[in-house]
Amino acid sequence: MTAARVGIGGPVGSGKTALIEAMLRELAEAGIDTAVITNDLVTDEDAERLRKGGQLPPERVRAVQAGACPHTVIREDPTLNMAAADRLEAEFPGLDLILLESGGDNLASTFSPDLVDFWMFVIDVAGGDDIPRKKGPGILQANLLVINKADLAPHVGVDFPKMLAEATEVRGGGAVLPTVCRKGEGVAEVVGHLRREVLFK
Amino acid sequence: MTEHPLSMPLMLEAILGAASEPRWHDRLHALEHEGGLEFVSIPEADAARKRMRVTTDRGRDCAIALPRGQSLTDGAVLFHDGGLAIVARIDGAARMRLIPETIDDAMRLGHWCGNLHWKVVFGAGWMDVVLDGPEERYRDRLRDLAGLARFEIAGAE
Repeated sequence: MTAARVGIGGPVGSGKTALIEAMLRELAEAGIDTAVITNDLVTDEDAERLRKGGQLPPERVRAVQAGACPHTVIREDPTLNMAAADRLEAEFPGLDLILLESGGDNLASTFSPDLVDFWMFVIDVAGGDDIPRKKGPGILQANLLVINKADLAPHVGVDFPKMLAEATEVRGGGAVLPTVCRKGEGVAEVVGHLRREVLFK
Repeated sequence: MTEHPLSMPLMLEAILGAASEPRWHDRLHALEHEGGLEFVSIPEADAARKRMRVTTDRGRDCAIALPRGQSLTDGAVLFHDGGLAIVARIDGAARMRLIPETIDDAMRLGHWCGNLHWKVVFGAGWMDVVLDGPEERYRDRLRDLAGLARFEIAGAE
């Protein structure tokens, strides 16, 4: 069976890389063989952060530089990312999962189904409780919406249960999971969701 | 509570053929009479995905995990063991037809829809927008264009 390809998108600073770092621990414990592709504008910043984190051998973390609009390489022309994923699968037979992190963006990014089998969108509480109500395509169309930094709600004047309820409502009941990636909270639920919906193990 | 897979789904890992092929038609027809033919309905917007968890029309839990080189099409046979067959049905997405008045209007309309990243299908003098969500959401975006380009909105055929 080929490796599942899972996209992770969301605004700058929402916690996409932090979510991956936290997920890698859970995935390793579950015996899920994983590799990561990061997308940055003109650097390998996120890939370097993951390599330094040491949770994956450095050769299992690949970087794609989008050059400009980060949407383009995950939606209109995802060939760079598809080629990177193909190379990882060829080099690491038995790979279960390839995580593809998009470059940080606004609320409009979506992944092409030609590139990924499943994608999640990460927003954070500190970005404001009005984000779900703004109904960006990322919020509405992602297979899973993750609301990160839930612990900051009292400090930034956010009614978190209300934000969670509004997010679920605008998504028509689609999956929404809260996390505090920095503390690892809620990450087991995200991994559990992936195991059921796309990893099948 | 941690969400873990509760039970293993029936794995569908290859497209075995097309229901319309003569060699499959007779086999599936026979199974249908014996109650051994089940269908999975997949929205057109998801048909390009290689992996997804689905439930057949008879409630069977399945997981599709196709090789990268295979693509889901309407009538794809995903499982057959002599007593049970599972066939994919691709649910056609709703479409909204846009008919520009002039070439100038067509250019503005095409540029607008491109900026919105809409999936479109071109025809002679028209463009169908493939709707991935309520039609009203698409009409809202077109209202902003009303003063800039002349076009008609019609239902797709």
